[in-house]
Amino acid sequence: MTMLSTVLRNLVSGPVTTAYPHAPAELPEGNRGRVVWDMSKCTLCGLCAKRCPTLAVSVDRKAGTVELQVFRCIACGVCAEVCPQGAIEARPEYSAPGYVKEVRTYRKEATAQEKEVVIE
Amino acid sequence: MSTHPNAEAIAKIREMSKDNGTRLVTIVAEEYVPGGLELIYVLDAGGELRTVRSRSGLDDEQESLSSVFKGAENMEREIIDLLGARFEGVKGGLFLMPGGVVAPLRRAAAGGE
Amino acid sequence: MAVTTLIPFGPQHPVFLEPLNIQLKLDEETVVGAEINYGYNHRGMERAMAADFRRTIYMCERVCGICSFFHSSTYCRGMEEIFGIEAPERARHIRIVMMECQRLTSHLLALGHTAEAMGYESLFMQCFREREAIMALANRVTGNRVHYSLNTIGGVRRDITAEQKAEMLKAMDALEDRFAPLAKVFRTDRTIRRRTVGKGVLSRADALSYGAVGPVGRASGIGQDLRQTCYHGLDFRPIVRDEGDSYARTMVRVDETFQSIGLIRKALETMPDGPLTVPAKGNPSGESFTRQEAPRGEVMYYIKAQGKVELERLKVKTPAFVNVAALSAMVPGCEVADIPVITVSVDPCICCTER
Repeated sequence: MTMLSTVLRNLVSGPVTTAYPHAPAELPEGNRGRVVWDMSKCTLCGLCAKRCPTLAVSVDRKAGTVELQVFRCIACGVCAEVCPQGAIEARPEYSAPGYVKEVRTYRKEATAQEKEVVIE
Repeated sequence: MSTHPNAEAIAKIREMSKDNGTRLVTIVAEEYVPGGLELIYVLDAGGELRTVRSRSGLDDEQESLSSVFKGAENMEREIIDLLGARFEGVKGGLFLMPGGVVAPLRRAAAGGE
Repeated sequence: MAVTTLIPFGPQHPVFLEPLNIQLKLDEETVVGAEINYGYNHRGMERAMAADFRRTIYMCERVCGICSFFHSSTYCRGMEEIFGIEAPERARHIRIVMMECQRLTSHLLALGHTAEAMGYESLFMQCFREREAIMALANRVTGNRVHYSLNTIGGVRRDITAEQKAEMLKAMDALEDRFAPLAKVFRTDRTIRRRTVGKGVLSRADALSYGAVGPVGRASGIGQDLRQTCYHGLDFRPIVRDEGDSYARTMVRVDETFQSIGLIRKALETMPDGPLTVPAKGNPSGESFTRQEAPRGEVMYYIKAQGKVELERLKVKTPAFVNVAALSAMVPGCEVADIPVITVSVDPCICCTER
């Protein structure tokens, strides 16, 4: 009989489960899930790759790319903390499953000034 | 009857265990120099940590603590598995299966990281 | 002449969350012997964690999924001892608050799981519903539901803002309100009492011999809780019972849940202002033994550093290692149908046992 109060309360209130993925996910704003690079601020210094605990980040200075192996990333936020330019941000997201181990590449576009030097 | 290299440590722990509040926390084993085994018996006596150390060769047969503390048996089985040590009356095979990795915590095994 | 039957309990069994094999020797319905076989979850973490002391913070969180913050805090405290630094007062309070939050989630899981092992599905669901509120709270404060990644050597990486503090205090009030009827069910329900009282008794002598810790040890009369020495100024007293049966273990967890709610409130009220970290420079060199009271008992880290990025030896002592071994003393004399509830009342965490 001691469960009766809980049972009655549950009968009059709605279900506590959400209909995700048919309803949007309710993630708090401090949640770390998806790590993104803002390449306009990135200087390809490589500090994020050095500090990543799972070696998920690799920086190629010659090609101008930052590559993230998404399935290795544990969203710890260390790269976002150590970046001297503040170019990395960890955004709220649930880890999505996939058929292939996703690799995200961020490419640094040459600026107008650099392009002019190349043409000359 | 040869005495085991850790017989002195075991006798000391047996003395300590006579006080009713002493508990075995864990047994730490390490290859502190190539071929040398260091056993650190960590005990909790009335809330404080006490350690009893014993050093010997990695392949010497050690005396088991399971006659004093029953919980020591699993700890010694783990050391047999991970370091390839030998304890009297205790068989390995706690975590590792025959045909698999052998003594992974030995320095010699640390070659291929 | 008695004929004994050998039945394997596990490694795949509906009651187990993690794989463990217990070979039960039965005489009709009574258990006369048990042999515990491990090895289904061994990952070789001790060697992997010694590779780079900075990566280890994140790796030792993942030794266990329920007491992950305790592992990370114990490791960071051990490294702080080796570096000769001490985390600031505010960081230590934040660690206490988040540790007690994780203790709440762990005890609610253990209680829900105990109910589930008896077939009391609705009580199991209600316990997990309360647990969800705390996981969501932890998500808001630290950024993740389970692996908080909040610790760093020298302190913590994120602060608890005044807004989050108010939210936490409200959540604690709500939890206390909603958990009180569930606690009453655990305490007084006739079926739960019939399935736990007098079952799986662990005597005090056996508990000392196996080195049982945590609620298992405290339910058998060993009155030790490491929080007595770590939680200064929070007036902490351990909860001890002496029956040693499954009911005593469950009751210790129920009482500790209420105690944790009180501790979170006190730690939040007395949290001082100040810096969050102290820098730790260079490579560590030295040795340290650090202990912490995780939900299942005592977690101890032995760290030996040699002046390089690689650690020479890292040894993790987990509470489940000694508590699961104590099962072989609890089980003889019981009936086969009692074994699932006894096993779950010990709260085995096989990923902690086998690392």
